[in-house]
Amino acid sequence: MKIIFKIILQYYLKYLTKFILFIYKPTIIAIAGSANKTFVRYEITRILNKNGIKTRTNNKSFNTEIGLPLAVLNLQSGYNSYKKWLSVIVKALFNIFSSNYPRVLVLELGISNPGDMKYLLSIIKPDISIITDITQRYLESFNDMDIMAGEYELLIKKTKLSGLIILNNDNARINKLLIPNLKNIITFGFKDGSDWRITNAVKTEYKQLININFSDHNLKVTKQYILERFGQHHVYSLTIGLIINHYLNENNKAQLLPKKIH
Amino acid sequence: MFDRTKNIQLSIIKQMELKASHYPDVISLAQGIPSFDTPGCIKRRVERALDRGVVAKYSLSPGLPELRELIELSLAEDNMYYDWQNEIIVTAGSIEAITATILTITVPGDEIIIPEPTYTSYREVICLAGCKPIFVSLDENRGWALDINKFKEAITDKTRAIFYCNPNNPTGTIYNKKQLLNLADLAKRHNLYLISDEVYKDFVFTPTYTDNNADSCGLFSLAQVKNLRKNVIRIFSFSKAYAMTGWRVAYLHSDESIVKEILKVHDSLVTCAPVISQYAAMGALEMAEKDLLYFVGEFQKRRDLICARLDRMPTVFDYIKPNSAYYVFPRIKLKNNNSWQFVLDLLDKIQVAVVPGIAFGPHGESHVRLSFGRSEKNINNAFDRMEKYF
Repeated sequence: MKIIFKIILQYYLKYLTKFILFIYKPTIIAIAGSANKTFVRYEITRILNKNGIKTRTNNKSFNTEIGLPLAVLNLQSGYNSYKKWLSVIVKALFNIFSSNYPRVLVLELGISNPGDMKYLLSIIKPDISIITDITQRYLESFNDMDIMAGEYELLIKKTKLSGLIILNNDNARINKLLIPNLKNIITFGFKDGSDWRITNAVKTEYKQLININFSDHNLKVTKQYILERFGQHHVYSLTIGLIINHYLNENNKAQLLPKKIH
Repeated sequence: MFDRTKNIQLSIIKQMELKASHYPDVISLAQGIPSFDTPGCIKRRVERALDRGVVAKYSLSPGLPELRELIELSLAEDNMYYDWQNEIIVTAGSIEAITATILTITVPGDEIIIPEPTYTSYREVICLAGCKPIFVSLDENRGWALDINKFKEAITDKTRAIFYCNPNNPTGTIYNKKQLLNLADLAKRHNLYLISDEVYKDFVFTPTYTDNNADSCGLFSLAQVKNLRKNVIRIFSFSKAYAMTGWRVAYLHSDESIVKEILKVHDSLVTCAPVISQYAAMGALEMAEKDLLYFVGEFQKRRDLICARLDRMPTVFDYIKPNSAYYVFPRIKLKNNNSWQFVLDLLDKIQVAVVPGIAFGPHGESHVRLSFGRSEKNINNAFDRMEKYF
């Protein structure tokens, strides 16, 4: 009974999600990787909202076959309660008629089994995809790293041709991913050769000081940033947020981001 | 023989439980165990991990990365900013976090100042590390407040840390921001560590700090103060907040320079926290928010109940109303107010188990600790017996 309910729910949410995305056509930023997805999600949302682009992400890490539709539909999980799920089902219908749908959705894609990415990409088609990291975390359901890496290769392949792919240049496994031609790719990291190269990240007692090199209209620029958070993952998150902001500005965000239909 | 353990006692709380177990009809308000079972959402998270076959192996010594990420996010909600990769360790209960911390920051012969009355096991861990606990009494007349002058007097060349529990067990009271900042100032001046055990931080019933007009919402932690990162080691356990005492999972966090040293001790003590319990902790942080709110509401009702029952016994008890945790620490007003004798009498005559105040330090004498973590029925039955007896 529980399994049947879950399957019905899964497909109900999937098709409702596809419908709502068809109506509102938000720009979709997808974040995948073994670690750091949530921090990146928050940073992108913070930067875009700060720049006046109505952006939404989910408070929780809803990133699976049920969780991803919940994030798009802006709904809470019913967890293990049929009663709560019934309420979710009804609310999902009402959310189609939201007058305040965001222009950008920042979504996490979580994979823990082979084929997970294929299913998630049958629901959404990202405009921008980010791969934060590939490590052995969540490897247990995959026979080897190549199969797991294949999930990320699929994400790259399925990202819109007119869109953008952002990759962590410091991760050896990401550098081995097979990337089709014609894809627009930006890399970041501490390593030489990164498009957005973090040249310095110094921790003081209260903050981190970060220098980032990047190209702006073919000019090499170095900028310093101050982070009041600690850890390399925040340096990466900041850099990804800056890349997206820069990219949207460079590419005339008014054109890139679909207009609201209301 | 047994030089290391000869000065260590089995905690008086555990002694009381052992004694109480010989009485079949006993009602226990002794042990600090919530009456609730672990929330269902946490159990389901564990079932899923079991099904996926991911709990049989060690995790990384500091803990599962995904759990530490969640902990960092949860800390950030409380304005504490720590790096999950280098500044957070998941431990086998808070007592392991405490043990690893004290073994790391001290050498035998050092002194650690403890405001008391406070949790009984601190003393034993400090002695086990070959250090000396220095008790500084709390000011009962000011609602069990910290008396900074007494701390100043207690500091010597051998003092290494001040170790406190906030909200405090057994008094159920909270140290306000002003008191804590004064303590931090003292610690900074003398280059001392501050070990802050905040296992009851989620059980705060009423707004505090009204006495010093400081920030008036939520519990204040010194781990929120950036320039104290290298002084404060903060400990939190899932045991109380999520009814998970048997799972043995907690965490500590501090500046990287301290945590990397504590990690060596943690690794040598337990290798890693039980992995199945780490998945339970993930379930708690991901899904148990509503359960936690329910627990807080229930404990507040029980706090009001136990206070109402204490009010009906004014010749026996006098107390400060607790605004957190699930303990009340009344003073015994009887002529013979020896706390050990009092609790043994209660156990023997009416089979009600409580903890003698002396267990929590010298200034706990002539008090008893009553836990309202137990059900309302237990509380009422215990007080019915006491009312009849006195």
